Amino acid sequence: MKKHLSAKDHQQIATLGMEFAVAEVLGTGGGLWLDQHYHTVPWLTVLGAFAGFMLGMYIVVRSAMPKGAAAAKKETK
Amino acid sequence: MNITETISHHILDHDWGITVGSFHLPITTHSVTIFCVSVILFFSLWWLVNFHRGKAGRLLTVLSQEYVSFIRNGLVKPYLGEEGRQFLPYFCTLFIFILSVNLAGMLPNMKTATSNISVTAALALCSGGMIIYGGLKFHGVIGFIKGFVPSGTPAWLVPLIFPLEVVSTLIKVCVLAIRLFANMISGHMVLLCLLLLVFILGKMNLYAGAGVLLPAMFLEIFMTFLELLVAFLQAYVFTLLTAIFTGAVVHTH
Repeated sequence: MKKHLSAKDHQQIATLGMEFAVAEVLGTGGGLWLDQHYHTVPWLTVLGAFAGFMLGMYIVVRSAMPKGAAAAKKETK
Repeated sequence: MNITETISHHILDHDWGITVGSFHLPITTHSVTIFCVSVILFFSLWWLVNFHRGKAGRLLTVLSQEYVSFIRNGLVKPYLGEEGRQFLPYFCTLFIFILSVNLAGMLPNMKTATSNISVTAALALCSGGMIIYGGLKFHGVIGFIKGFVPSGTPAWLVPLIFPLEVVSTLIKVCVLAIRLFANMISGHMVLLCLLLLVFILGKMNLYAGAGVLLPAMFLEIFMTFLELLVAFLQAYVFTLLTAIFTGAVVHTH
């Protein structure tokens, strides 16, 4: 298998998992706090969890896209 | 033996501050460790700059030059380019400070201040400030804000992408704090749990306690060396990721 990723890419990929987890926790935590504040249990928690998940997915996809494109370009060469 | 109490006594911070009336000055084990490390680092470097004529002084001068070269060529130049020269003092300070605080926890009667989320959060906030400063310095306010939106984004997507990008930058800073905190606290917990294993099993059955003593001590020594490695590694990773994030803001293309 050819090497497509630099050391910088490896470092960025290594942080992705934690970034995804933190996004999810922040979304859910924020939703929970708002729920307790506005007495709307459990709707804002669910909404926050979805928002956190979406944000986490966005972070992962955005980081992966340029690397995937570069790898595909190298493969076609 | 209350295991939770023992673990929390050894891992968590202790406040033995002074209270005068309604004012409380918190003096904690972690803050004392940070203060000691800062004073030692400050005076060592001051001595190195002013009184480095002896043989030991010359050796330390060469070592410090090598250290600065390592930070400049290994961390700052590859990610920030020539523009990174002005950020070099921050990265040199960051690495040696985190490393010293991590290693201070290996000394008797000292605690690893980086196993406190408040300390790592403060360090991450400094790095976050550096990232924002880098962006503002090289692109100005408008350019920095524009840099949050990836090039080629359709105009109708900008209101959605912009907050996502801002929050993802904040998350990056949060991750810096959590990674350092989690790595440092987990090592100490493992060390303590291995040590407690001997006492717990010994209380249940004396022979079981005696039997587990040698393997636990062997693992304890192994984990201590691993802790030393983690102390270096985490200081390096924190500095490297700050350099990568600052570089991503400075070189947006």
